[in-house]
Amino acid sequence: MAAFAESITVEDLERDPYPIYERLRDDDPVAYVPSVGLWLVTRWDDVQHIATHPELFTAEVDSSPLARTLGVNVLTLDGDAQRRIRATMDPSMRPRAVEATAPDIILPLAERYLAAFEGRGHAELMSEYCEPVSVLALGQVMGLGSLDADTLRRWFGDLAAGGSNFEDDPEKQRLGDAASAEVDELVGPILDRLEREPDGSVLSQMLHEEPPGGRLTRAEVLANLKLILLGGMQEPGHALGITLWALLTHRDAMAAVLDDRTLVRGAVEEALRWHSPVGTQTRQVTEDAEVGGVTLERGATLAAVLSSANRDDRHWERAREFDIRRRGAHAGFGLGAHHCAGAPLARHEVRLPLELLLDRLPGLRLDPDHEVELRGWEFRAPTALHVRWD
Amino acid sequence: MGAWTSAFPAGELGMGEMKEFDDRGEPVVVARTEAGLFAFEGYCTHEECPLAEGILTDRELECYCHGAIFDLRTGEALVGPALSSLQTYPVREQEGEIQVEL
Repeated sequence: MAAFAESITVEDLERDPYPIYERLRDDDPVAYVPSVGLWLVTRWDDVQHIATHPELFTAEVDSSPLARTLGVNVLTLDGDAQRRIRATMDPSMRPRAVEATAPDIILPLAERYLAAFEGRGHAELMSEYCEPVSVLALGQVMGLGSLDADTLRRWFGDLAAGGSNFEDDPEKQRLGDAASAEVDELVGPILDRLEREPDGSVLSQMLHEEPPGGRLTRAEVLANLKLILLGGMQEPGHALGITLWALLTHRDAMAAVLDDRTLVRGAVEEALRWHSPVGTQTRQVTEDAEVGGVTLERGATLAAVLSSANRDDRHWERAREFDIRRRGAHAGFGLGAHHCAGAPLARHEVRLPLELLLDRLPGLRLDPDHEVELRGWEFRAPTALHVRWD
Repeated sequence: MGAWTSAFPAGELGMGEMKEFDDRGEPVVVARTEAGLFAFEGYCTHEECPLAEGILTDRELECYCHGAIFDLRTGEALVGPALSSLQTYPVREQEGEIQVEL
């Protein structure tokens, strides 16, 4: 089956990785894919094994495009070094802290963007709603409220290009590096102010928290801020877009959610399983290790494919189907110690704007004049979501 | 079948509350909600955060650390990051005591 893995192109993966993953899960579940320079690990049990054995499969990857673009950050560290950074982020991201603060940030933003198109009868929701609400909500939570949405959106787009550049494309790297330098330049003065005047924002907390191992350096704060910008700004908006698309293409599910809002949580979780916005966790093998019956040599770099694990019918019943009443925890926010720190916030950023749209746009449906295209394997979302309502 | 063990006086557990007890080196949490009494292991199966500090609703418990949600009756992990179920235990209120079958 190596021939199939060798034939996979980056464009194949970007367009639709799911048929590729299905074939790999069945025939070659630990496969080296030369076009991305990675072993792709595609079954649930193997992905979970990797996530829970950091001593064998470390996040400290030599060739990580994430570390290359952002600097060494919490996703590219393990053990005490990883826990030290998480200790500065986690307190403000805990469920109670998020519940206390996030709705007052998210709902006014969602109302503002909805008001701009509510009377029009049609909209392109990714650019007019999902992405700007997601970007500005995180900007405010982080303490970057003074920066405009266009700058923040451009940053996450360019950081994503560099951060997912497994194929060493020089143009993607240039974009990522330029955005990274611009973040350093524009956020520097904000850090200066927060050093003097702590304000309770996540950024302020990252500067002032004193975890075991000592306070974060400026460079560490900036590298992890870029990671949060990349993951936190883009992905909740993408998750909202995917959830909307899933509901708009499954009439029974949409009708059920409209009838009973307690089903929103299940709809969001199922959308994150069915089309996971974040595709992989990258790891490097610390010593010769077996996974899925294949021995990987020390130093090999692999992608534990979360989005594939979420479709593995060895783990899930009817894995291909979108079922908002499905039970069981998915891998959409990552697994193990590297589970997304911002998951409780992200869930609010999807649920609250989704419920607002359902409340305010009767007869919401896809615009038949525009076909929906999803793209991406590392970061996946609809490229646009044109809708109409009554 | 385990043995019924006295946990604490029933009056110490109000509606919507959780209380931990530990008589064997492994804490067990008892919760009282409108849906009944529930008993389960004391630590989250994700990163061992103490569940007695979690967020309780009638039928679910959310871990205060990272937001994992468990079904109180079955212990099933409904929302990650926890993937493994909680161990649950039979629990009853008898003769003014909360008793758990361990």
